[in-house]
Amino acid sequence: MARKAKPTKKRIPLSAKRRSRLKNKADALEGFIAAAGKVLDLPVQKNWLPAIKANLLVTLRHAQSVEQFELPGGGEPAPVFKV
Amino acid sequence: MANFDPTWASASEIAEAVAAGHISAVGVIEQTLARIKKVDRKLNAFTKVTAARARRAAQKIDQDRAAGLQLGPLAGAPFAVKNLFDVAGIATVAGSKINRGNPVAKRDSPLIERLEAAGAILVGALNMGEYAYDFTGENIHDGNSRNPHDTDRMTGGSSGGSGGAVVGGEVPLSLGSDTNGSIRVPSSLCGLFGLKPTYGRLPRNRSFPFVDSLDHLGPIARSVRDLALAYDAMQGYDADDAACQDRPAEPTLAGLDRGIGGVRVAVAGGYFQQAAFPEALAALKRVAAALGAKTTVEIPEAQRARSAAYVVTATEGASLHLDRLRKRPNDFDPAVRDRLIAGAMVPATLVVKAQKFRRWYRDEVLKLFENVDVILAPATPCTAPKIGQQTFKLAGVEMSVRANLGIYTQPISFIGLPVACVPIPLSPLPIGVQIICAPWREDLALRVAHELERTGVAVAPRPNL
Repeated sequence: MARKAKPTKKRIPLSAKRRSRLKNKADALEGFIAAAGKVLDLPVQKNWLPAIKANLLVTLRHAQSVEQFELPGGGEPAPVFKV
Repeated sequence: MANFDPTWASASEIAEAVAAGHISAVGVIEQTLARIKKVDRKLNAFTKVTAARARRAAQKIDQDRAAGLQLGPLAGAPFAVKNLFDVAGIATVAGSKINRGNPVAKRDSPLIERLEAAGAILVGALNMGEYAYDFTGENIHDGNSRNPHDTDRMTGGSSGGSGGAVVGGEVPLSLGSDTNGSIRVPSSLCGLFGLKPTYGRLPRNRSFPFVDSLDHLGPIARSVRDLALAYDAMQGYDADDAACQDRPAEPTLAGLDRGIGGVRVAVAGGYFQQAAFPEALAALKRVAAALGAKTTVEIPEAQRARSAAYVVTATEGASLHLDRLRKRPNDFDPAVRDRLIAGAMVPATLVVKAQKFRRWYRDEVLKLFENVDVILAPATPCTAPKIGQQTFKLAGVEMSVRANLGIYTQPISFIGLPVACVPIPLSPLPIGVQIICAPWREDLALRVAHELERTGVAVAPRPNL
């Protein structure tokens, strides 16, 4: 089915400092996946790494958006019995 | 009944015809099995056809009728279930290769038992995305479910076969599961009515889970009356599901025709309209106009709720499959395996925050129902994508189809609200709209859906197969 073309978000060139920070983060994530794989006794084959890393990045991005939200008190998911 | 066509009649019409003696239950089942044989090569909706069992059940119904016994409200109506429901005598594969080696189920799911007690006849198990971690209906082990409106397109998932079989005229009724949208997404892409009940309303024991704190089971059909009949037959407590509420059944069928006078309807704005394709917005507008919805409500922090649902799904799903990931990683669909492994590695600090956020979000959304009774939202951002399509553009950003067809369903199931999905017959492909209600108000969601069906706004279009 023909779809109306939508404008793609314009990508702003990254500064060298930002590029370096992202590269460090990506490298750190590879190390994290390797370490977590060992700790959790999960097999992480080399050719799976790009997909696992991409999925982890997306999940962490979602998690960070939740983390940034300031919750009021009382949000504890605990067994609370009200009388 | 010369014109009676059980391959497109509703379950309630079939039951009426069987009760009146216009057609035998055996006749219905033989025509159903012939239809499955004819079209399922194209649709790939079934993974198992339980023909012998169906024939035995049909014979029993015909014998009961001949003996003058009262028949159930679904007597003779064929149905099929997503292959994560336990069916006695076959392994519950849940779309996977790994589970094929499991022992066969000893007993049917309680929902199958309850539908059969109402006279419905199980004819088989249906294709699904592996372990329900999917919105596409694709499956590398069993082949892809195909959309009867265009077999090059997705059914949506993960209850892909549950959508394809019903709109393909193989059965009038199916059961699916919905963790993040897996009943509503295929209902939308296939052009069907679907019901995701309130979390805890229908028992889930003897079905294979995905994310226990988000899993729901429910029906898909071509008519609202069939949804109501099936839902009413399936209500009831079962102590073997810890989340199932011991709450009296609240039948919905008798109230379907009560109309919608006095019902306050609002449209979800903001997040629910930002990334939608024109067809999703056109369908929403059509439903809003038909219901006289003039107000727009903002579901607070819906995007963040979707993110929190994403995190809970990834981590709880990973927790469920951890042992299988360790022992049989090569037997997973790689796309599912890599998501689950990533989910296993998300730090717990972030997961706890997502859980706490869920409590806050639920309380905020429930406040909306002090001023409105029904909230409308798109079910999917677009009509059925092509099978194999990896990405689409949402609000100008290239995104994964597999992960994002449920962007509008996830923030709702995250807090367990009941939703009826209604099909809007746009051309060339249908698309669904969600009718969202307060907890335990399935009656209202179905009543509004029925009003849209009665006025011709919502209809399950018949494909040319």
